[in-house]
Amino acid sequence: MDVAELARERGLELLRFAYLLCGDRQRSEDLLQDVLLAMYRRFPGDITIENPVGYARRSLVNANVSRARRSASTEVLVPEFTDGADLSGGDPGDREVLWHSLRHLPPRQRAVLVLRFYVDASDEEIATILGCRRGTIRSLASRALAAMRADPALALDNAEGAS
Amino acid sequence: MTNLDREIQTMLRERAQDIQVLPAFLASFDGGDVANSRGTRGWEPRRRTGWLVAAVVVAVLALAGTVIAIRASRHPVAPGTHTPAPTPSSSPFTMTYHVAGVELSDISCATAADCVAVGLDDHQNGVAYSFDGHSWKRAFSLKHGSGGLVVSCAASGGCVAVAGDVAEWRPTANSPWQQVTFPALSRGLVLQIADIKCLTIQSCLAVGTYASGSGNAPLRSPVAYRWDGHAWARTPNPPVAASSQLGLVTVSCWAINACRATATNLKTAELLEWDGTSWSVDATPSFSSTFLGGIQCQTQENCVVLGAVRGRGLGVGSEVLAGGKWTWHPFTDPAIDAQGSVSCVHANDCVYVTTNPRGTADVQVWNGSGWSRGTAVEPLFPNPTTTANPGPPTRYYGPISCVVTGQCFFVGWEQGSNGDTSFVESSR
Repeated sequence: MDVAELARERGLELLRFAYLLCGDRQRSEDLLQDVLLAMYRRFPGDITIENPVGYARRSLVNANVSRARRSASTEVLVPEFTDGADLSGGDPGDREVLWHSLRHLPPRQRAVLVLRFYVDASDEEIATILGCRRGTIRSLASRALAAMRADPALALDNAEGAS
Repeated sequence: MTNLDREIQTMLRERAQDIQVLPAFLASFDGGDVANSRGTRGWEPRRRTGWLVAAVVVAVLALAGTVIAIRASRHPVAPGTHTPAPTPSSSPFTMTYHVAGVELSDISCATAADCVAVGLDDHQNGVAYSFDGHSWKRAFSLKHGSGGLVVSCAASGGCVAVAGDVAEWRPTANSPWQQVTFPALSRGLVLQIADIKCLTIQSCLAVGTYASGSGNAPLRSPVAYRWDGHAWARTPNPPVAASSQLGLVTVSCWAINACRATATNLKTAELLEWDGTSWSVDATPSFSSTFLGGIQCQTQENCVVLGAVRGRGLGVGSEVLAGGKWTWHPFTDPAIDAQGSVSCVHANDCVYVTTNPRGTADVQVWNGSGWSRGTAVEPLFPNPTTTANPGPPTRYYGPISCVVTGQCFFVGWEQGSNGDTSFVESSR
């Protein structure tokens, strides 16, 4: 498989992953474009690694973290929450609140949640993708969930228990 | 799985369905076209969106041909510690400091013996480190919710660092840091200062954006504040249409009450001028750029503004004002990333550093007439990419602060086996 085939066959899947990572449709397209370009430069012919999708995912995570850091002083994610949203009913509107809360997390914490709950990756797999230790993944996930629980807009029951 | 876990899982799977179609420019990816990198059939010119695209930079400095090298450390430091690094024997640049568990995001040097670097620690608290010419030490820490930190030091050694809507400042190099907040905005508005420039500690201009709304399209408006050594005062609103979604990105001042700032949204750019009383749109230039990034003005007649052009084949480079005329100067290498950092000692003496896809740095220098290329920076740690752990290394270089020709400091970070480590490089 070369990069062009990867883009055609797995592009939509990767674009969705990028979108969940950064929370912005246009930026996700830019991220994927940059990653495909970087992959082409590294693999101008066939992709010579076993798991090109995993490679692309990791590249997307890294690119998103880098961009977030570079643009941190120029971009603002604005949380706008209705007061006291209760998620217990699973209402779609509540999930909108959850989405905004997720977007407000630091990029690595957000990546851990996306990988864990969307990709269904194990902590070991996430550690490989993020290039850090498994313990770090648990720490990042714990911090992310704690931050979301503490978000007043979510009004979650703190007794629900930590992950 | 807790209730929150399940809700997150459901929400993510629903949200993923927001993307139903792969855009044509991605679906038609063609490696042969990509090799040309820009503006070819089957591959849309690199569409860097607004700020992302643009953080473009001019660079210059009489360091052409010099080699920038970071000493490769084989001994990653433990998270939370900071250790001065040994000095390499032959290089115009050397690593003066590295610190684990912190992501340095900006640096400003009053002199080669007086710098302040700021960033975020693992807990997302703002932190600052000061340099006295011999060693670095932690200067302050503050709670910080979102966004990055910026800092500017005047020649006297007084500095102002801003994190979101909170600032720390020190009147002189040896005085303690004091916290000061910005005037409160209306409920629901979020202030994000993007850049600050202090000519003296009684004369700073901070620029940025305040935003309201939510989702993928928050409403952005430009905002600026003056610092007089005692308090912040909001300036009159810059004259841009509310619907333009322009936010102020960078600022440069050549005299007290004489500054220019760049404003941009995702599609257009404006150059604004501050005269101490009001803002005006600088109508002089007919910019090629659809985005304006960093700006460095030495006088009213000498400015370098980083720019990016999308879809018109000019790519990334700078708008340069000299003798009352603006001209476009593209980087010589079109593959160079436009998201780096630039610092100018004067109009013909700047350095630009950015990270390339290989995780090393591209350095561009500007001598007043054109760009030349510096040399890639070596990694701090061995390349973490392995067969079992594939992927490009995560490293980031810049911002940079030059004090005199040949004397610059820049910050960066990279991912090592023990987590992120930030570093400061300086020329000797």
